[in-house]
Amino acid sequence: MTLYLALDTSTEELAVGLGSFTPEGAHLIGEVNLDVPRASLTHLVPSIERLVASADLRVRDIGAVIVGRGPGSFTGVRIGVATAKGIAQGLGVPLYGVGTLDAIAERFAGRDGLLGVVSDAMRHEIYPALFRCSNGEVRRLTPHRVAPPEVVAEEWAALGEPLVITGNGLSKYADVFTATMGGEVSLAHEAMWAPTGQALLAAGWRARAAGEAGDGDVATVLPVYTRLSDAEVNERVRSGITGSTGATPASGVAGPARETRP
Amino acid sequence: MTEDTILTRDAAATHRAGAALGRVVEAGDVIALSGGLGAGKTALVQGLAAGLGVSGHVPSPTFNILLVHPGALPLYHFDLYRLERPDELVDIDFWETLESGGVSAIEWADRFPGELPVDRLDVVIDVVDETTRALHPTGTGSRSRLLARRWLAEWRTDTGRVAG
Repeated sequence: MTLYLALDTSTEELAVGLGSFTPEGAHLIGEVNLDVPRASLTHLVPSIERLVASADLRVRDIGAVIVGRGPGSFTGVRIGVATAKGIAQGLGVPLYGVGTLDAIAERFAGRDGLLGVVSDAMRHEIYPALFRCSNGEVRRLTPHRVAPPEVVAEEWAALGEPLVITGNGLSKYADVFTATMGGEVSLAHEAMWAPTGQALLAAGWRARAAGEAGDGDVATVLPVYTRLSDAEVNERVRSGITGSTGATPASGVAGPARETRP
Repeated sequence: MTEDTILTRDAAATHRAGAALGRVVEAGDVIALSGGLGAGKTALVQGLAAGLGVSGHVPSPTFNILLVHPGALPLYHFDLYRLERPDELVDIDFWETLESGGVSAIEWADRFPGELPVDRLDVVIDVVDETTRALHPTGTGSRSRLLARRWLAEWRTDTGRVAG
């Protein structure tokens, strides 16, 4: 039975999970979820060591790594992906990437209906993603992107369907959604805004089951920044990658991408 | 010279003006400083740090670009002098730092005027003579306009104390 380590530092909440996969789903062995704004780097590796030790296991027992690729805090995404790559490379085990918003959505797998996840992108913008939850399934409906909260609220109001919204974008923009969407919207409690170790494992299990988690190659798992820097846009133009106008490629990935689109 | 100008006779007075600002700033405030080399931007931020209760040396961040000082509120001290393009602000996590609940002081903020937050306290430092400086605070939004008023009031109280 392969032991999976899952981690995400894209939000202010550090999430680490340890588990295994069965044909039915992810089995959780243990998790550490800490509210550590701007301090995930300090806590990430000690949390992994503590979690592994508390399960009476050793780090070298880890057989595969799952990482939340973002979008979210720019520095946080880089810390998580870099650390996950280092661990997977060092152990010589596969690395699989999942979307951070997909992992947050997994926390609502038991419900039925539309789910909107909004993550704070700073500068009065959010990373929004829509999911459909039904019968324990979580299906992503929209690609990675960045947009002002007012635009997203208008779009989601136009769906004309009850919607649950979660994510740390609510800390600043809850009013925007309630004002625009009225009775159609219900806002998730703050405790449900971030990924957890368990949710990361669930998202990893679902992505692998759907064949969307890649082949485990450490080199091809890339961060989702969504908002490309000018330098990356210029590089894309130089290297002849088309379809990127400086806004958001569907993959949100900078660099040589082999990406599964939702 | 308008009544919204703070006139400082020497570097010590510029430091005192910064300390007055440090006593009235709140979490999330952004102070954008401009003025040529030697105008006293760093002296003002050193005063700001003292007003925030930062202990220890507050050097110019020209080399480091960003230095973080723990105080009553964290002080994020930027110097954008060495940055060449706005996208380099992404690499230093500029916007996230500004919105992370501390006080941000940005030297050479006028290098990237389009990248600054909508509501910020602009402080232009004019060199009047060898030692005298004129500080011109301008709030660009309701929050920073209030901060500018509170700073000027705190400074007048402080100079009243010093003179008396």
